[in-house]
Amino acid sequence: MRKLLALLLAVSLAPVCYGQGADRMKSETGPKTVIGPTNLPLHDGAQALLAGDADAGVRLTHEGLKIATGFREEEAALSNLCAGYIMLEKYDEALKYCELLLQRNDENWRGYNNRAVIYIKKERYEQAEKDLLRGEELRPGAHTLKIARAMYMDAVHPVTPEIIVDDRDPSNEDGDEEP
Amino acid sequence: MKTVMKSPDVRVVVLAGLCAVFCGSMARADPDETEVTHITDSSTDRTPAKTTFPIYPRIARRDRIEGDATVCFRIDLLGRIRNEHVRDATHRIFRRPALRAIRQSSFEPLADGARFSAELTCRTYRFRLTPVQADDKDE
Repeated sequence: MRKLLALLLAVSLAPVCYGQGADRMKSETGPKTVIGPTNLPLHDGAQALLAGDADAGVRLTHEGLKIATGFREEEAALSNLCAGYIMLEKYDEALKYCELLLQRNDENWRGYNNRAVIYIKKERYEQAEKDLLRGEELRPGAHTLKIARAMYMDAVHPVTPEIIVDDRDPSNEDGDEEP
Repeated sequence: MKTVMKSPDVRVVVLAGLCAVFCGSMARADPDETEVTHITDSSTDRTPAKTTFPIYPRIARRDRIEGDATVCFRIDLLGRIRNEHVRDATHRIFRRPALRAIRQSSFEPLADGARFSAELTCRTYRFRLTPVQADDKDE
């Protein structure tokens, strides 16, 4: 479960660690671009979350947050901490980091997604719905949001699947009877 | 002659993967049971031997998509399904489970002396989502 939660919540955060600190180096053959993680604990924390190791993920991400440079690294750290604490089922702690994230950037759809998940877990459905709507407005069609939306729907409007095998001849349907 | 069999005891695991994880973890959101009904109306003289019910597609359930898929096929002398194809589907998501279900279904072999007909037979799978009272789920 934790692994899957990590996939849901943190999968696209790991790349934040890459590429932003590309070092340009000059060599005999000309300029060379080296791309790699500039904040190693943050990167490793994201990897640990993706691997389902929430404890290590949260610990490393905290370390990464301490040395984070720049807005994007800090946002990634806060977002991953929120996701990590959700994985650990520490929803109050998760909420704290999600709110910090959204205070910094109120257009971070992932923040709304994660906070909606927390609200669903805490059965605060009205707030969850509000966050889902905001997230869907910011990133229509996001797969992650669809999953969170399904969690909400299953909590608030649960359904049971039903399958009817209808062997009546479809060309003879006269519409007077519903199965 | 129409026979309606309501089979609430037949439980089909519908959810898998992510949805199952999340839905299963929620007290009021684990509808991983599928209710199945078989309506027979003698569109063919052949008698069903094995009726396989399709699995409700996980994404359709997640996105609350309902619909129908009609598959047509021929039944050979031994009751096996032949030339199966989807004649109509309200949503493409239902095509594959419908085909899979008919391929796993069969009819009784033709009785001695019975006249063999190679005409096309059709079966419609109706995928429905029935609202459940949250309180009922807790019971």
